[in-house]
Amino acid sequence: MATPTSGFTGRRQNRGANLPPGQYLTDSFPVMSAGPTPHVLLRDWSFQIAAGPGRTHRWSWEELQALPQEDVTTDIHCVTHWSKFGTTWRGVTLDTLFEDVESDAEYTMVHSYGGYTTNVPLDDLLDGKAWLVHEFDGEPLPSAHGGPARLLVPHLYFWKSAKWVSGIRMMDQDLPGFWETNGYNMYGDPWREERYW
Amino acid sequence: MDSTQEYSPDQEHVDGNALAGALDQFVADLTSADCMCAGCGTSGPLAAALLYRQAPGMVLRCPSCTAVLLCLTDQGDRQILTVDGVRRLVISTP
Ligand SMILES: [Zn+2]
Repeated sequence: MATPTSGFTGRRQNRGANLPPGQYLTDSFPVMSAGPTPHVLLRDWSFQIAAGPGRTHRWSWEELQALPQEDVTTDIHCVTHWSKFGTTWRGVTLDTLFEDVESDAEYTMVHSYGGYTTNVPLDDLLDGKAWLVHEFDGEPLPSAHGGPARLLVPHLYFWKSAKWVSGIRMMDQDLPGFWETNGYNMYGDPWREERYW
Repeated sequence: MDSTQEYSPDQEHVDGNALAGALDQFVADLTSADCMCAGCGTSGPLAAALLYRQAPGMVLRCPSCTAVLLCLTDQGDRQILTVDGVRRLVISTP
């Protein structure tokens, strides 16, 4: 935990209360890139939830658009220390996608086009905490920021909000994804500054 | 090893400390090493691979298939290297 050395830091801006420890505020939207940007044609795009053998739920782009859409305004926090306040997104809540999914598994692995993976407990995807978003700032989500569609799990560090998301696989145990294997935290709560193992 | 067998210490091995000197050359000269991608089998110098670093760590990818060769994460007091995508490294020692 950071030790407060001066009252000044906390009072410098009243929005500081919304800034997790170790973060700085930015108005830009840095493009984080650990690999080439996959370009997925909408007609080839699909999203699937794999709950077990023979229990795969799949949505095409058109089917995703036909589901109830939500507008989301939220702060986001990247583990590389930048935070951005009041970002606006549009997409489908994961509660809608998991409505007909039957599984006892408590963990998930999120998969992306291009091969990226990240693990998220199922509880953190439900109850209005996560979305599959395809618009940012009123425009179609640019590929640089994860379009056609990315996961949005804003209460965790942003590496959990997988860009170019292609599906979610249910897991009985919590296994590490890409950054989690490379030293980053299995959970990643920015308010508890869970950056690393 | 068969699960019914037990490991028995032998006289053929020494402990890993003895590797230190032999690995020095790799550590000193890693970017010049010829690297074989475990994904597609293509070989080439590490220096010619694709490095992505606008990320929580540095990710080096195969220039032929873009699979991850290695990832290096700097946590300040700890450096983490994973090399899942590397099948072989060759250093030339004239
Ligand atoms: Zn390759």
